[in-house]
Amino acid sequence: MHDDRFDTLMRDLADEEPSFPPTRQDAVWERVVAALDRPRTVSRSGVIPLVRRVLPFAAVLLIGIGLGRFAIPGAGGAPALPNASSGAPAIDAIPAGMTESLAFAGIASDYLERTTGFLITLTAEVRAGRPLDASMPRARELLATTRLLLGAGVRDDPGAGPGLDPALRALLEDLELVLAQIVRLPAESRDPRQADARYIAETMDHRDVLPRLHVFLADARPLR
Amino acid sequence: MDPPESELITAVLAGDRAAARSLYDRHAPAVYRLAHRMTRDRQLAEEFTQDTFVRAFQRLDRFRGDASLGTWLHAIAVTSVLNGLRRVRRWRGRETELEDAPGSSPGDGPWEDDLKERLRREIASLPLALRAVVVLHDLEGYSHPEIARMTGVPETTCRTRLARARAKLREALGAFV
Repeated sequence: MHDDRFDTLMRDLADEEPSFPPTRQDAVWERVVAALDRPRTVSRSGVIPLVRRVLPFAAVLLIGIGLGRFAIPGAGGAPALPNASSGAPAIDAIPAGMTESLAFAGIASDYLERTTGFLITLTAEVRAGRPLDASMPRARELLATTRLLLGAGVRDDPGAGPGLDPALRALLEDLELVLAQIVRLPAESRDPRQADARYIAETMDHRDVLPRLHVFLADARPLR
Repeated sequence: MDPPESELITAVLAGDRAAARSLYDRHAPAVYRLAHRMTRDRQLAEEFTQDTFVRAFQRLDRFRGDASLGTWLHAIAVTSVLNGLRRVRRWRGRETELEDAPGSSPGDGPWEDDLKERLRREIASLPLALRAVVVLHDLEGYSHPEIARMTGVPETTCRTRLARARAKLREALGAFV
């Protein structure tokens, strides 16, 4: 293609402005406000408070990730049995050094990031009318990890120390609900034109799941 | 008359929500446009616009005024989109649509397509790093020094990436004209 023609085309494209429909602009502002109004329970540095939140449950999370990868058929193409090269932490392979708090915070950050990516994609899939079958193994894996985190936060002994941070617990409970809805979708309902699949996207909207994840994730980013 | 931006920023830092809304209304269309140009997806563009403003308001006290607020917001938006698209890519079975797809072949029916639409698609199929530079430079009008500051890569790298992006686009479109 000649340079002149190419440059003209680019200029034409630059002159076109994808518009932000006013109703959508208002809706996004509402979501921004909702995210900003949530109490920031993590300090700007993000490191120490996030560590405090996940420290009591990190070992369980590590075990959960390990079990999740090995126990869920087809999840991420993981092998059926642990082996030295898998890179996934098996129960007896958790080194003592992994109890370092930054490692825990990194794992929590990774979990939040993976869940955010999954849900953004899922919402886009539903709205674009694409089938959800490919999302099922990931949803099962994330649901298992979410439940392990929630289960780890239940303390029989009230004197044993603080439980899960309330904001994190609320977020995990909503994530569990959404992920359980996805996992329980019967095969015939995985078509986003079906009401069941649309209902999941609506649940996420009503509970502001993604804005809350964004806030937690923004807090966790300084770890990287 | 609209208040100057510096006054709005001071008001936002003092907790004035109406001032925050004013700043949002001034800049949201441009941030959305950038996100849409990077993603070609309305839903994702909204997500990244939201993420950009949440992060911007949370760290507005760090805005020093070295660049305009619009440029600062665009820098946050670029980071948000690049990080977000990488996360999305990991979960999409059809990552190639987002990043690694080779240019479409002439056999796809270019004669039915508008050439500009073809160019849009080719830009969307560029690798993220190249796409960011071509969108920021050729479509948004930023200079190489500005893009270098936004993306955190050397200016020479920006220039090289832009040249590579344009070469890929020319090559992809070459078969159709």
